[in-house]
Amino acid sequence: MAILEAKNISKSFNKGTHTEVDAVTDVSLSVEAGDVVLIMGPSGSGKTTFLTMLGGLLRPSSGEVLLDGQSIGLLSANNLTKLRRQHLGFIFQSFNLLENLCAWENVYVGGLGMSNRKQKAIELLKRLGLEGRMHQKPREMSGGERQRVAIARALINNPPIILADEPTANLDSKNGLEVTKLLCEIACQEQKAVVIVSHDQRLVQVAKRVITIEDGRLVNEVTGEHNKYCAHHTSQDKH
Amino acid sequence: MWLIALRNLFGEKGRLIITIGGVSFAVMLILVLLGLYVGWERQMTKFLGNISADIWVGQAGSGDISHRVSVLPESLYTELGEKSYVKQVSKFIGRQVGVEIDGVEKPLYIIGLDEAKFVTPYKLSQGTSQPQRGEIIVDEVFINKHKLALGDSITVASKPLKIVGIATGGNIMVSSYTMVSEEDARAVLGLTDSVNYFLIRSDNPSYAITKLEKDFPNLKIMPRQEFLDNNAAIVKDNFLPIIGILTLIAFAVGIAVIGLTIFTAVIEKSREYGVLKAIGYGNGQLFGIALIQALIAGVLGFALGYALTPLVARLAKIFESSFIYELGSREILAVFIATILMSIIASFLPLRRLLKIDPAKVFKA
Repeated sequence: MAILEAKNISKSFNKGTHTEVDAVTDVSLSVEAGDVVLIMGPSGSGKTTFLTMLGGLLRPSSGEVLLDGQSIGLLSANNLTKLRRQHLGFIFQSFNLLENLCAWENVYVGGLGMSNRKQKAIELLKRLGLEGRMHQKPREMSGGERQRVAIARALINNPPIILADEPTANLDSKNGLEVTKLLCEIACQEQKAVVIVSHDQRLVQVAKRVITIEDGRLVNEVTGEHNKYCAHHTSQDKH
Repeated sequence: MWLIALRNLFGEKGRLIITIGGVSFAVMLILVLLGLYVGWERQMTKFLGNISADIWVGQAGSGDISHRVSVLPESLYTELGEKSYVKQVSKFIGRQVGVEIDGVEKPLYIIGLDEAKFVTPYKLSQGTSQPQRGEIIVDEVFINKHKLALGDSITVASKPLKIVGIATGGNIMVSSYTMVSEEDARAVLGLTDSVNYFLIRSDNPSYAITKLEKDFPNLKIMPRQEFLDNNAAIVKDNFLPIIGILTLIAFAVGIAVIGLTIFTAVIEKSREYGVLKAIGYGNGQLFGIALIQALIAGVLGFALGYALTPLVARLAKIFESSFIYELGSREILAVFIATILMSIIASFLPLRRLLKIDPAKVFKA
């Protein structure tokens, strides 16, 4: 069953003016738990606009986004904020950590309204291999460490859906691979739906589905290499 | 919210110092102005409150010691003294006159000491409390201002008077109370068979007032507190509006300082606020962060301002000896509440900006 669904969504900017731009046109997508969907396409093709609409941060000009079967277009701003907090985890290209907060605090603030969130933040950071970096500020950490902190922040509320925008773009190849592996684990071990927007071809190996958007339109959908890559699946296949 | 607010506030130390400095300046200004006002208000009645009369009897239309002058025939003295409800009566002879100091005329309030000793210096710091003919007790603010000393002479209405006592508590802004013998007061003020007020002591002042009003319908009968209030009102009526305006300006400065700091912080951190919006923080929670920052800045600014105010007041006293500063817990609490109000109002300044932050923008690298 789809936990996140886009039904024929389109987005136009500056509608009705001579600078009108159709960023996304009539794109549909259905995402289930444990799915890893990679959205690829050239720069300016509308990938990120599509992702922000999936995340309820931008309202589509037409069509609808359904989260757990509920249309989010009808929700008030407050309810949409609450829904985002409970159902979605965001990972950004430029990490977007709060500069004045240390690692555990950055994860902690992601768990708004949760009980024991400090403990959960620390546990998550330990799980992501950042045990010794708990009290470091973002500027004192490497790109890979920062992205892992951002991933921990996205996970603290235990959301069923993770939306990642170019999660490996600012990372070197080693860190990029680590983050790729983490995203795979999140989907496989925790049965979370992961939607990734990226140019990075390495991410094809963790994706179950790869869709391509060009000029705002979905032009292609192929199966990814997830089953080959994922150690979890490989070991399951052996059994 | 607290965590983010605290880290944002203390993470930018330079800005925090400027904010606290600005708020403390505003708080200090308000405290000094209030202290000055309260000080003057109390000062106006300090000397008069020390006069041990239950009732002041004056000419109809009189009311205070400075503006509504009272002159009464001395013959009333016996008449008043004969009343059964009057325990003791005394004469108050006093008026403001010009005194020439170094060729410049300065105002002084000359009071003749009465035989019954209702009138005494508020507090004698040097010399005698009983001036004889040709002698005078002067307030120390006047002494310091004009570099006078015990033994010096001042000329009042062509009559040289030797300073034999220095007292405190008699300074009333534009003038100060001085005490001379009754004979000298009469000579200087030209009151040969008249007085300014009669001072009455009674075992039952409220009964005595009722009776006096009945027996002397053409006189102004004032209970001690009413007379003191009338004199305090001189400060209230003349200075409170000015002090009020200055306080409002200081209040506005405080709002501007806190508001600009929080506003700048919001602009600087707008991307971070956008991230918070994206990950599920509502506008109310973001406003909460701004409010907490404003409140902390306000409270810290208040603490610093409160600590510095007595030092500033002491410094001011060095430059201007008539500077008076007195603050009670009521005024301090009022300023604290004003600071909290400043912070709350200031936190609304970046509200529009906060509401306009688009969380979708954080996806842009």
